[in-house]
Amino acid sequence: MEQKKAHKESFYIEGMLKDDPFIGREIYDKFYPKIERLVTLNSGGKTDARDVFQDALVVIYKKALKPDFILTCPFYNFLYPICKYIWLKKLTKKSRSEVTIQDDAGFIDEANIETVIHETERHRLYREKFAQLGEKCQAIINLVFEKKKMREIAELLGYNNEKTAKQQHYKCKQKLIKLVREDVRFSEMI
Amino acid sequence: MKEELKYELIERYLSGDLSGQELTDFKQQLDQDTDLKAEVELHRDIEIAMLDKEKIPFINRINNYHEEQFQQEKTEKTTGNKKIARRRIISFAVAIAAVLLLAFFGKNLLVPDLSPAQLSENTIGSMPSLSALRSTDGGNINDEILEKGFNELDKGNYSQAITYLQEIPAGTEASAQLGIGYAYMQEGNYEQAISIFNNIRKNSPEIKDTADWYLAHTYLRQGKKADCVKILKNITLDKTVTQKRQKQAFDLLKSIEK
Repeated sequence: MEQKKAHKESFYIEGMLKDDPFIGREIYDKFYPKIERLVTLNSGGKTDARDVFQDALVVIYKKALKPDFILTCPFYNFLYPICKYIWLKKLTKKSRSEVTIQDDAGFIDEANIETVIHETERHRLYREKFAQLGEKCQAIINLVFEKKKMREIAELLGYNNEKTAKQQHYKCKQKLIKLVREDVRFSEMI
Repeated sequence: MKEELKYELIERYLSGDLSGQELTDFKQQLDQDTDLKAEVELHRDIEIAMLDKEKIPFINRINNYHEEQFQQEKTEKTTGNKKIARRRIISFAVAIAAVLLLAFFGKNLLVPDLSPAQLSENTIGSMPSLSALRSTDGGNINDEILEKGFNELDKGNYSQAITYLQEIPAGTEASAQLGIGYAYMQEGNYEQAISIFNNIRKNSPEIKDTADWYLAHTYLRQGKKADCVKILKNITLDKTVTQKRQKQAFDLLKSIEK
């Protein structure tokens, strides 16, 4: 299989992951005005534009956390269709009908947008299943995600010791994965 | 593999806690076992999905930029309404002046090339402020001399400021050193200024960011753009520096790299 080549603008992705203020400022100054233009030209306000820009960056950040992620196009070509998709979704939700939006960029990376859509749907499913867990299960999973030590978690949630907390976490995670796998939508998504 | 142990290994692998032989073995297993690979991917995917945007530092940074811009727009809007008539008159006067100047000096005036020294003068901002540098009110002899020195700095009497501030023994008062460095820089005694700023950066972390900023300007005035850019980039990357200072550094970087 042909090896994907990282685009020279991958430094934006590295900067996001490292929370580099220099890159942060550049992304904001260079790209936000364009996204604001996209949204405000299409029935949105500045607050909408800010939300869209932020949500798109969250999507990109989460994608970039995966070790196999490689940016293969200019950063803006990746950011723009995601913003467009997010805004289109919000508009459709507002109007409850199909919406098309005025587009002044002549490119849409269909492959990228498709993976973003799938990923967003999949993540929504995980969150939905997570919400079905009991409060204590949600708490322990979140604390482990936050890289808290098991001893600390045991103290916080009132378990007798580290071992009990560890077992509890295992059970909760197992339950979450079971809920995800049992959902018919999951098999269609993978 | 026992289910519970498998979960534990996956968790440890994803959080980077596996190392040495254990890591090698696990990676080998991942290459051979597609089910295990899928399981790891699912765990990772769930972990990423659960990540709240509020917990992503980069997203918080972007929110701060939004907030800054919002405040700026708000201020511009409020002051803009009051000043709009006056601004029109000023704009008209400026336009007339520009036409006259153009007639005299030709099109070079349209794109003035600022010298590094001019760029520094335009962007350096205020001189070091004594109250911002010192967290305690002294009441000793050093404080009186410091105040005199900074008053002279404020008036632009740099030689006099240096004379006063040098009365304070080196190593006892970092702000005096900063004042001396600043005065040397303004007098064009760049090597002395650089030596003092570097000393402060090494020995007085509480005012390192201010020393960094003036050091960058000293290099700029010397025409050493690469050294200046290096210091400015460090400021933009330093998480302990105020946002205002980071923005100043960022804006200056942009002007230099134009």
